[in-house]
Amino acid sequence: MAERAGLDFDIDDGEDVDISALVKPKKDKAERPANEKEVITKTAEESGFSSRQPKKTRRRGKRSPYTQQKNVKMRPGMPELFIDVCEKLGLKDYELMEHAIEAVLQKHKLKEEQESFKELVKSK
Amino acid sequence: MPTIVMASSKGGAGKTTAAVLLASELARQGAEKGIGVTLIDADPNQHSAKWANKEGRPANLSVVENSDEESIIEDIESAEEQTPFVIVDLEGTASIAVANAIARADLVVTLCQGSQDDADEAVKTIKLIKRQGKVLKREIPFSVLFTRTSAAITPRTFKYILNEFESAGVDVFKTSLIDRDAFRAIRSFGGTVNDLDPKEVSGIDKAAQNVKAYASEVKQKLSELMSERVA
Repeated sequence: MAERAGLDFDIDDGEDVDISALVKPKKDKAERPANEKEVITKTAEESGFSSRQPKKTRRRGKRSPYTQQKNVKMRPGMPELFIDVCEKLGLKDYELMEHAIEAVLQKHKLKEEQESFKELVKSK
Repeated sequence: MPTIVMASSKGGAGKTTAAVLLASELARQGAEKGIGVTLIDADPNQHSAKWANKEGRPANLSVVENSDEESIIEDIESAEEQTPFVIVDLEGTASIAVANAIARADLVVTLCQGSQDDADEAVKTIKLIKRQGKVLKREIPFSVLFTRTSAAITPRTFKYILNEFESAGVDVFKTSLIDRDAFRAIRSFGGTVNDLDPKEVSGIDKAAQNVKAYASEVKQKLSELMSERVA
C-alpha cells in the first residue's frame, strides 16, 4: 500500500496563496430559498442530525382553584341527573355544585354564609 | 469572505484545535494587510472561546462566543459583514447547529482521526453535506483533515481509512495535524504556536510548519473554488 504523501510540510513559499486574493465580494442573500431553515432542518433530521437545543418549557396556566374533594352519597340515578344538568347548562360538575350552594344560601337568606361564599369564590 | 466550518459529529476529533490553529494562522498572515478573522464558537463547552480569552490572541482575530443552533446562521452572516474570514467551531454531535453552519459554508473541513469510529462519523457528516448541497441547490465543498496523526509512523488502520476515503473520491487534505504538544500548549498558554516559549514547549518550529502547511492547503482549496466559480 502506498505511503501517505501528505506528511511533508516543506511547502515552497512561492506556492502559497496570498491571503488578500481570497477576500471576495459579499454574498448575495437573495439566492437563498425562503424556506431555507425548514429545508436544512428536514434534511438534517433525515441524516440523523437532531436538535440539541433545550426545549422551551411550556408555561403552566393558572392553577385551578378547585383543589378539594367531597364525597357525597346520593340516591340511585341522582349522579346521572347531576351530569345531565351539567351538560344542559354547559357547566363542570364543580361549577354546578357551587351554583347549587349559592341558590340554597339565597333561598334561605343565610347572610353570613353568603359572605363566606363570596370570599371563597373570589380566588376564581 | 470565505466561511470555513469545522464539522464532525464525533467529539474529540480535533475541531477546536483545527479551528484555533487556522484562525490564528490566517490572522497572523492577514495582520499587516488589515485582513481580519472571526472565530465563532458554537460548542457549548466553549473551548475556542476559552483559548481566545487568554492573552496573546492576534488583534485582528475576533471571537463570537455562545453561538447555538438558533443563532448560528445570523452569527455567521453578521461575522461575514465584519471580517473576510470566518471560522466556525462546532460541537462534536449530530446536531442541527452542524447542519445550519454547513449550509453557510464555503468550505467544510471534516475532522477525522485514524480510527474506525472517527471515520464512520466523518462519513455521516459527509452524507449530510451532500444532502444539504442537493436540497440547497449548491455544491458545498468539503475536505477531510486527519488529526492527531503520528509524525513517526503510519498505522495500518490509518492507511486503510485513508484508502477508503480516496477510493470513494473524497477530497482529503495532504497535510494532517500531527499530535504535537505545541498544539495542546497554546490552549494552556493562549496565543499562537509562534508565540510559545521554547523553554516551556518542544517542537515549536515543526508545529509552526505544520500549521503553515495546513493553512496553506486551506487557502489553496479556497483559491481553486473561487477560480471554479468564476469559470
